[in-house]
Amino acid sequence: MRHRHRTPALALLLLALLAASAGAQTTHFSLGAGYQWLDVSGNEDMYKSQLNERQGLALQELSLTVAAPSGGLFDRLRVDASGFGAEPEGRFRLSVGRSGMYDLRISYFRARAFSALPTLANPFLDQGIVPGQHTQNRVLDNLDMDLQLFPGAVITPLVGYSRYHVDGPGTTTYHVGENEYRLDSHLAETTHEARAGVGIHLDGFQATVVEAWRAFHDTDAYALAPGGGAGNNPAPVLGQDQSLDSFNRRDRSDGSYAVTTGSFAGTVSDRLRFTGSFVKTDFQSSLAEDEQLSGSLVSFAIARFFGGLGQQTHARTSAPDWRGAARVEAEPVDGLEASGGYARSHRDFDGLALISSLYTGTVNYAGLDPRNLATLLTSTTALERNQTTWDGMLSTRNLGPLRLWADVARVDEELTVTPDAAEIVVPGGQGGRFDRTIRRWSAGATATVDGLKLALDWKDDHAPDSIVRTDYRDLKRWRLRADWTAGKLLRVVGTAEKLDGDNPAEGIDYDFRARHWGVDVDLTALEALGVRLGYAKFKADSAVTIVVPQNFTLEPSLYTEDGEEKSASASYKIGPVSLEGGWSRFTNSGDLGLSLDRAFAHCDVELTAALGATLVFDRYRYRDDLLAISNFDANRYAFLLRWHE
Amino acid sequence: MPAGRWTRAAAVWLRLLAGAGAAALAGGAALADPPAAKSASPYAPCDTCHDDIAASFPANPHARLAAATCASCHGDGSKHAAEGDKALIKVPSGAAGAKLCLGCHGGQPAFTRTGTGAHATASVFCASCHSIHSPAPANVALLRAERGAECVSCHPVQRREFDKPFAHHLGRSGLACYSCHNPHGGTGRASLKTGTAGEVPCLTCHGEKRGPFVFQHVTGMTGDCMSCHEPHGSNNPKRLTRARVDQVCLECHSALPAGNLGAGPPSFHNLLLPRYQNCTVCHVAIHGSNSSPMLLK
Repeated sequence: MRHRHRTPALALLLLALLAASAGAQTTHFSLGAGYQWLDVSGNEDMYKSQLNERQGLALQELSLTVAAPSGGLFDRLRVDASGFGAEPEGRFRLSVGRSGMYDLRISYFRARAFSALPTLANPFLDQGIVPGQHTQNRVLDNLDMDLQLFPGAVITPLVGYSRYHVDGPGTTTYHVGENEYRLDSHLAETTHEARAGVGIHLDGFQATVVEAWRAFHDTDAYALAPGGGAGNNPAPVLGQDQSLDSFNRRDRSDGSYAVTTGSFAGTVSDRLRFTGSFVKTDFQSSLAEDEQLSGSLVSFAIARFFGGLGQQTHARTSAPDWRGAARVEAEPVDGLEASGGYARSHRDFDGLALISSLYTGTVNYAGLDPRNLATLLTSTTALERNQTTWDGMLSTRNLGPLRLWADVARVDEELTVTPDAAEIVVPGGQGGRFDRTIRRWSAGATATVDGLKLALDWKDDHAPDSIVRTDYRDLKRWRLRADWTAGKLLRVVGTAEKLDGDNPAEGIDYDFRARHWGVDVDLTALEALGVRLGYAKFKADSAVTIVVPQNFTLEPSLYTEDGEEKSASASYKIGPVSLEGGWSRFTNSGDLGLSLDRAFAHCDVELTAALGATLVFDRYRYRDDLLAISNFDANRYAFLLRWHE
Repeated sequence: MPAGRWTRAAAVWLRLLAGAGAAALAGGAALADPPAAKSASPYAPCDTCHDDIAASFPANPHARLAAATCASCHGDGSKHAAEGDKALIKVPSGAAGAKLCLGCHGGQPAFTRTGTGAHATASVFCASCHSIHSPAPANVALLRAERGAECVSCHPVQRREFDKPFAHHLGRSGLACYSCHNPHGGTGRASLKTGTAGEVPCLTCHGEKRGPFVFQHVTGMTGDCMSCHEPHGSNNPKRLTRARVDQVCLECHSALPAGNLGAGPPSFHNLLLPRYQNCTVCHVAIHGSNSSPMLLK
């Protein structure tokens, strides 16, 4: 963990010293950092699943812009960082370069991903046992570096490197022997990507071609959780108690493949522009899995009781994929713009799994015929997916304050799936060929008169076929936005959105609707005093017919949200002191009734021209209407020092 | 926190402060003094009146271009300089301004659709979000406002989605709208910022779900992560689109009518029992599996 904290700080130190040694001039510098305290009561797991702040040192913001004399190592340097330390995510960005020589960009993102929810995968919720059986506490590190040489030249070589890494423990479950057992897990996944390419910059034509090589390595380790051997189902199966005495599994997934990308843009004249892009990838992966378990178990697949299982799986997938797009944008007469685009994507997918199992200590249901039993299962899957999109757009901006646009598009989807690939719930020939064509019309208008800007748009999608049951056949959306500004005194922004979709096919009867509207008011009564008020309502309803698994009757699956948000905040500046406070309340009375109350107060004092201090108080109160065990209250107090030039 | 970790953390922060301070001191009174004397300014004669812009422009990324002068974007300003009339100088804005910007920036891979893209049709052009002359921009890329603040001023519905309890953490630390969206083009109506190989942006951070898997679920077959998850925020745990996991699953996996992908008959699972109400207690590898056709591991 230590190097994760240290790396960005050391990078900043190095760059700052470089800047100093180059006789650089800092043209912008600010640093805000301090310490924060937490006071959390109630369900701490839920707090961490939603917010995951910690107590400790926190980097609120760092920004450094340096201009250096030409001829040095660099003539421009920009550093931005925020969030490291006690916050759940942190980001660091560096952009440094020398005119005509190079342009280097480095970004690093770090996040803590925590989840331990009361209701997720929890068969014992009604007994008050929380959290659920699927939890995780992982750390994510993403690093991206890109170097462009000779920016501004006709030919600009490019190289880059990315590393994505996620690592951490968790808990999960495993269904074996007609029971589910709690497992401890640990995931470590790393993806490396190196890339090289070239940019071409000619008068009126620019293009980039990049070849990337990607490799990933994923290790998952599982072991029986302490106390997990009894399983979730205490009832005997076929008269025999089920239990797991030991369990170990280790999965290793690897893959390496090339990715080719290209893009171009050009202008034939001031009135004609074209763009295009292309991506080709040969996705591949392989898996080696070893699983060993023992206990008192039953398998319906081999119709026997058994005492142990050793299973090895070797799997391989190949998924060549390409997609390309081209677009032409034209302005045939002043103020009238037209564009047309074509895109096509294709994916071939082949998977093969070889699963070798050795059941030990088996007997039949009568307790007779003791022996070990080996099984070998080969499974292959394949799918082919094609998608073609045509679209055309016309817009005009020569009607005074009015701008109109209209767009028409057609999307053709073709999907061929082998039965194996579709058998997620129950085996049974669910593959086949699935086609869907979506025709889309949309139009909109914007008008700007004095301080008022109005925007209205409409979209209508129609698809006579559906691939999955929740695909719509008709989808209509209306959006309205009004933005009124009265000088520096007042700004009012109102938005409304209406969405209706359905699939009336017999046995599906899918119908959904959503409504949002809201208004935000910014009032600057005095230069030093600002007030912001907000109000919003949202409502969502959906229904689709489902089969109830235990009796195969039909009933609608209903889902509703009915939410409201109110907010108010104010800021006031008097001399060297700035005060800001706010409050918001979010409520939902839909399927999951809940409320969220937030409040904050910040006091900022300019101690000197370059140094300031900030006191921060944040309050977060979560209430679940049905499950009081989820509730929590969290207060955050912080003292930050700001240094800026 | 153990004492050792306190010491280490303090040392890191002190180094950070000292390093940044060295750079600040090296600059001395840089803020007050432009790097070049006015008489040698490449921005003459404009700097006679627009001295504030000329003073700060050396810190602007555009100043790196050897040929970048005021005339590069504003054209011949001699009449304007002589008469002082604002109407006599070109001020790039709107669609015409975007064309000028695209003359240099249009060849970048991210700029797939700008002139007539979703933003352009809503009369949102380069200068709506970017401040070209800004001396100390609030953010990278010469943005006018703090990370994402420009976006949510026009997209308040999306901002409110982040106010729901199960949401990505937008704004205060690492995440921004453009972490997942490409405002200059992108894929589909949501202008998604795809990965190198064209993947949805979700997989940049959730790479362990990328596969490809022998037994694919939604992603890679039809639909994508948003088939089951709300990307910005949700009232439901795991940002699911439904409050109950079994309803997320059964809305697709019900055999009515035959002919839809995945609409096979569900097993005889008694949803009255808690162990069957959360499908993922058994179907744990719900994003895809290499060893279980039914996504059991």
